[in-house]
Amino acid sequence: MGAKAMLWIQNWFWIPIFGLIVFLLLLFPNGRLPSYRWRAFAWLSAAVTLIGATLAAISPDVGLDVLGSSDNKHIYISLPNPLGIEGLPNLFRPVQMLVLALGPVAAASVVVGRRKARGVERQQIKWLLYAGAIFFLGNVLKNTVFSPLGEVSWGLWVGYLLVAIGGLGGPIAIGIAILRYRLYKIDTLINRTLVYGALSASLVLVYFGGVAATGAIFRALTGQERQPQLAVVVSTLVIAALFNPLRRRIQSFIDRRFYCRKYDAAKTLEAFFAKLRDETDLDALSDDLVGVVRETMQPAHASLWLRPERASEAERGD
Amino acid sequence: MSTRIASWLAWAVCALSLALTALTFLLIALILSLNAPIYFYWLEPTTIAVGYAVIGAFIASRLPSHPIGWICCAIGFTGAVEHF
Repeated sequence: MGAKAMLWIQNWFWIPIFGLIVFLLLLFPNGRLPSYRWRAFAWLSAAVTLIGATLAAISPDVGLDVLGSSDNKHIYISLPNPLGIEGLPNLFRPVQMLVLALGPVAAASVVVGRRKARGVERQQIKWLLYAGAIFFLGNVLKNTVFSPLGEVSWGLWVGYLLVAIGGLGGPIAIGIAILRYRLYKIDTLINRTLVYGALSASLVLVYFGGVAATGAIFRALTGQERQPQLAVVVSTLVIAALFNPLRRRIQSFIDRRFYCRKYDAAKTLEAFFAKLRDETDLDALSDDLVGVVRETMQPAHASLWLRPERASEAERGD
Repeated sequence: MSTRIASWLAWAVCALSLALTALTFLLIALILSLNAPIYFYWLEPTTIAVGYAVIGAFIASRLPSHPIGWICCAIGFTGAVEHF
């Protein structure tokens, strides 16, 4: 009896969870809808969730994904729904499609509906999008890269790990965003993720490319088919030597491409400091200083006032 | 609702969700020991149940008037029940 009740719950309980996630996205981060126009979609989501859950609860069959422990094969089984109404068409797939269609629209409400957000709200949205991107990437790796390999390989578990990190990252990002704890760290985090993500991918490519190339050269020279240990050693040494120069290049590229203003500001300040060491003309320095402030901080107005020389001499005489 | 009651309620929901998740793992261990087929997608529901329940309790106990905290609590709890 207990097993049947659990089976029945399992058949439809995911729909309210999905509905709640839709509302989470719609109301994030300030607890209000992005605008009045999103009200219709909110009502539609509530109706679809309610009707979908009811239809799934009375559907005649229950679908279940299981892993056979004897052969580790992923199988889909269909069982009769203990509370299903006989004669009703199996509505699992249409209901699933309809409910899942709400997700992308709700996700769009975060990006499109709140595109005019500034300041704190913008940072909060960045946190959610960052976690969402990791979750999405994990799912892509798991479902489109590793799953087609068929069996439960190590790659699938890597994909699972990424999904788990993204899945846990979602609520953590929401917590940081709402409680505003280290809210402004997101820019650094995104920057580091882009740099180290690109660096890892490049090094993996170099490593496997190096192993394959060294192996091919070795085979061509010696005629032996066995993969030499030398290929692995050479590739490891190459990626160790490449790590820092590649990291600096990628960092520089990311800064120029995505953080253009900050990058320019840093460069401008660097150039000004270098000029300060050699320049002795006060007027030229004053002009440069105002120029640097305008360029890096972009204030509405900037001017420099220097105390007149006579007054300072008189003060010294006193 | 006062902050004290909200905090108590949020953490109670969180504790219930975590207890259900722990029981789920106990059942999974039992099923594995019997060498029987097991529910395949256990990792995602676990992260949903644990992650949302804990963060929901944190947010709801500090900002009881903010709906996001309570939605997270509800996601965590329903996720734990569904997983169980």
